[in-house]
Amino acid sequence: MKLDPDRELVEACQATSPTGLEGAFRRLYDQYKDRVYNVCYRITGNAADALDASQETFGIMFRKIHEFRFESKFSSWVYRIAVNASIDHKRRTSTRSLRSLEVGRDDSATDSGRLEIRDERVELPAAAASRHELEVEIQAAIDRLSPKMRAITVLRYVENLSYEEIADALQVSIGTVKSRLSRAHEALDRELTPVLDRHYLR
Amino acid sequence: MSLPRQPVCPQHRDRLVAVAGGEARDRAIDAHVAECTGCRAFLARAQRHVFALAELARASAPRDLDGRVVAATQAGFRQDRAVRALSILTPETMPRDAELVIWQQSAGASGPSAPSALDRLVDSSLRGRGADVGERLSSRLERHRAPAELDLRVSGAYERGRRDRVRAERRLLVVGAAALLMALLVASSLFFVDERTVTAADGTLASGRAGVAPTPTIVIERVASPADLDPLLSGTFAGLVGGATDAVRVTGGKL
Repeated sequence: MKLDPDRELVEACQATSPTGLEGAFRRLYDQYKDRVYNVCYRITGNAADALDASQETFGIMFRKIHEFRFESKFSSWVYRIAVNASIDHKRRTSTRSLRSLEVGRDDSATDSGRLEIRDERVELPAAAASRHELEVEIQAAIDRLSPKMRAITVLRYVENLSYEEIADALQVSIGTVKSRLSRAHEALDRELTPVLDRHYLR
Repeated sequence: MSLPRQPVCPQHRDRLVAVAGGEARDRAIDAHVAECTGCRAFLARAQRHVFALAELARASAPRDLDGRVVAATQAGFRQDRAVRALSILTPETMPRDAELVIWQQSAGASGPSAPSALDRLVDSSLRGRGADVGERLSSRLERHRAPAELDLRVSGAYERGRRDRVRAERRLLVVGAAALLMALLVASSLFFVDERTVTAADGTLASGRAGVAPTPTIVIERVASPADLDPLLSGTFAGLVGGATDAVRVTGGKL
């Protein structure tokens, strides 16, 4: 197995038992916070739940880091925690409307509800509005997938993990990854294809 | 109306997905796709999905997250420290009077009586080992089932309460009826007070209704015959005595 790029920082955390968000743990946090938040956001579907799930992810990471034995990549371990925290959180708040994504975006008055999008490209307002509308619809289509399908879709196509990394993160075989992705595409055919047809054909 | 979709070959589905996502290049699949309409359409749709998902904007962590993670890690640190502190406690280091403290807390505000508490402390000391105390402490802290007696007590208390309520309602009814009767008596007695019989304190006659007599007194007049009564008073009196006055009037005062 290749040397884990996070090994040094993780070992530093294990050696010093961090007392809070500082030192090596702080560096790991800075390295992973956007990735974790992004996964949580795409799985839960809204900013408030993503924030809760991200907090939970780093809380678990902090408590369990001294038990990590490098049997998988550290990044896979972090993704696994984030996926599980997001699915659990989504399950707990399943009664919440799918519209919450819109609410989360529109609620710019509070920091917790704000979604910061990194996009350096300059777009015309009409194109930006259209793009935003499409994103909302794609997110709604992701939300309609089952938790397993949602997790694998996000890890593969949003986070761009390889089949191996996904298998490592979700602790399943590569065959399972392939078949789940295949089923995810079947579901996306139902949920996403009409959205894309509507958007690009009008 | 959209045309029906051509079915995708199930044996190629996983490989088509891998090709669509750029996971693998597959010449055999390329050759198959060139000939199979269903697989070609599926691959095209899958590639559109991949493109649309990859184009989703990346959400960056909000500033709120830092503060929340600081709080979470500090809470985690305190929890870890507490767990570590507890883990170094061996059975022998368990304080023997801990049972008493917990028992007092669980016994409520009143607490146990002094002799029984002392007995328990002596008892635990005699038995000695902290492990034993620990076992009994943990068993004491378990959740208990409500005993069957509780049902009886609760239903008995409910029955007593119901009886008390019925009794109180009856009492209220009697008091109300008495008050009403008293009010009727007072009201009817007012009819016996003739305006002529109301006098002022200085002995002069005054009107009891129009005038404001300082301290009105009631003068009871003896009348020889009911016929001498004021007609209104006579009628009221006749009503009260069941028409006896009319009989007197008819018989000329001889009953």
